[in-house]
Amino acid sequence: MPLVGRLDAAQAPEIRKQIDDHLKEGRTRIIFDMREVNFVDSSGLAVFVNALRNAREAGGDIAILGPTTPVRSILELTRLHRILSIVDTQEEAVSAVTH
Amino acid sequence: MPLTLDPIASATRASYRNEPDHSQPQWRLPEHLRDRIKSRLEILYSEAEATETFTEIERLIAVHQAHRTPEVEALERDFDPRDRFTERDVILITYGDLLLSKDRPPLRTLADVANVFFHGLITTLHILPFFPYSSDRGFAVLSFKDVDPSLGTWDDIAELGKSFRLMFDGVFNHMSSESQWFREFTNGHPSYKDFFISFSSKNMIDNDRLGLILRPRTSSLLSEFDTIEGSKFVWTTFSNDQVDLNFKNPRVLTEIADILLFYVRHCADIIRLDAVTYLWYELGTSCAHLEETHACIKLMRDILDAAAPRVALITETNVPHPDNVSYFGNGSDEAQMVYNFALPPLVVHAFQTADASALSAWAGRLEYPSDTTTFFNFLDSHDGIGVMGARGILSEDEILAMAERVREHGGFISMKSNGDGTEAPYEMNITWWSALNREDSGESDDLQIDRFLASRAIAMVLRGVPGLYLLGMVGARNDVEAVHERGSKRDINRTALQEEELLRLFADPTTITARIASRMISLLEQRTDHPAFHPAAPMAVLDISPQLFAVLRTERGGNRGVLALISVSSSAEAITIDVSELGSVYGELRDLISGTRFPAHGGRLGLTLEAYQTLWLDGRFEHAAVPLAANENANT
Repeated sequence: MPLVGRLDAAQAPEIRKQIDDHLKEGRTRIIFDMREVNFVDSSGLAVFVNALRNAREAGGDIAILGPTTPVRSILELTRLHRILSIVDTQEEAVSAVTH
Repeated sequence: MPLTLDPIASATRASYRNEPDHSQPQWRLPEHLRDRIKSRLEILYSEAEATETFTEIERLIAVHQAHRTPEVEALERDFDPRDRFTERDVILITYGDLLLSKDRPPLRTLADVANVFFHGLITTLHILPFFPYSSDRGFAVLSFKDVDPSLGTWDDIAELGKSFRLMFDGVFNHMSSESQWFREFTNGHPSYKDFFISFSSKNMIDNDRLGLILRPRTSSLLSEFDTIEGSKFVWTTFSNDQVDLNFKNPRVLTEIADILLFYVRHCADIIRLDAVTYLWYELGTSCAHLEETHACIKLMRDILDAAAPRVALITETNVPHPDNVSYFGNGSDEAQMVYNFALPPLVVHAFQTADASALSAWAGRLEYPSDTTTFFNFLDSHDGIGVMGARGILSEDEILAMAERVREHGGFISMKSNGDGTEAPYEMNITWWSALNREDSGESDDLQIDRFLASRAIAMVLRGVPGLYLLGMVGARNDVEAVHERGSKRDINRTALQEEELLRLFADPTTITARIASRMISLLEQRTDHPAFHPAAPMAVLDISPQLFAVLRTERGGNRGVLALISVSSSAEAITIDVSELGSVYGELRDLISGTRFPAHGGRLGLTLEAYQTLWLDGRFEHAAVPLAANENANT
């Protein structure tokens, strides 16, 4: 899923809906392309946590591809980097969700 | 604590029914609790009043029990009060609107931030009064059973309760002068006739009796209100908008009991009894810590023991330490937790003077009345840094000098009346960061951050449950402008944070905010993952050097321990510790924070503690330590 700009409370509901749709249709391995995202707030982070929980329950997984420096800092401060697969390349992302 | 995807409170939360189910067999109060409740009521009321009040309390509990679901019953049945608090417990203190965002109500923002930032670090959220109010940032409550609509709804509280244990305020000493209850009182409604303490003339309390009353403020004790019966002078301990409830009226007590149980059904896990010192008045006494006040608290405890033993009481009493700990009762009949009011001023004093002697001596004398009670070890909160807890531990000169230094750091001092026409400091209004660090000091950021973190580390190693104020977690500075704008000194430490602004600071690892947050998280992770920090795990305070606060914590029933060494000085110090005297089993200790290993050759540990350095040395200790004499230590 390519994401652009901000991932905050305004965008979170729509992204959640897209994730739910993917999961319902059996697409349980989701890569969030974060290379163009420059800000993420707590509701945006919650999207990842929920997506991870739901994807794993459905037998899949998620990966975060190429977060920008500020987004990566937030992921590290929240310690979400310990439970999320954060990768730099498309190949690594595919590998992370198909392990 | 390992990070998981599971909500923290999921294992300890079950929902009540919205309406009572009276088709179930009526619940009966156990005999021992009947006797206990009756005996408390007999202290407070006449025989006839006590009998009538008991019947009403029994009814209230029965109605509450009819709200229980099988899941609630199972949780209550399996509950062991010795496991109420563990090393994993940390309480975050916040207003419902201390974090703001553009798109969500404040309680929703708090839930979102807490879920991602505090998950696994904080077990309990203390949401300061979230009820509609007229003043004092929530502590002049208009309606006890409503959520302030500007914050959110009861559903938002329930949502927070899915992930965290919740601490509610029981602001039962007083309520707003604009509340419906007080309106009914001024309108002469017979049911509210004695809900508040009133006199027809100011002179009905003579100066001798007035002088005896313990006052936390310099404002007038009696405030004049127009009523249907003419002018009345109403008891107002805190301000003329906060009218004291009259617990001599049994109906006040039963109304409060009803509210207490209402909070239980709405996710309260801990109920903070605000300003409970002043709950009962008796002219000719100090009107503080009276036997009747303790009886009221014990009665609330009895009600919770009967209806919801998982729910604990915490008393908030900014008074000298011996009075403060009296609220533990005998260790099993009053508050399960007491605000450790002496701790914050003693920590400030230690860092101001680079001497932890008074703090260490006090900590070494701390008594823990039972394995089901503990201290709430906070440093800062929405209020100022109370100094009453330090009275009798620090001299008056030391307290005045501490207050003066706080002024030099941009803070304010709130005073109290002494009853003889003089005043004395009551609390220091300053943020925790600013209390320790001076804006114009020229010190490096690193040194100031180290000092700040060292102070936090003290509260985390002391036996009890640590508390953190949200603004303190991010090193908030004084907001002097807010004080001038709103005219309240406490507003220096109550400025809301915009989530976006906070996250932008977090996103840049070079900012002071991000550096503090990162190191706080690291401390909390270690704190919540070590059995030696269990609130019931033994603690020995060590006398190594005045510049150090040093304690040995050892796990219960095992030999794993943490030797915590925390410098309160800007000078480095070389120390040698005979760790064999502490029962150290192995010849090496590992710092939990940095991972550095420290060999202890021949049972002696030699190291240099840098300015404001914190070491939490993990190791095996065969026996609980006895305080050590200072040995060959020297400043470098």
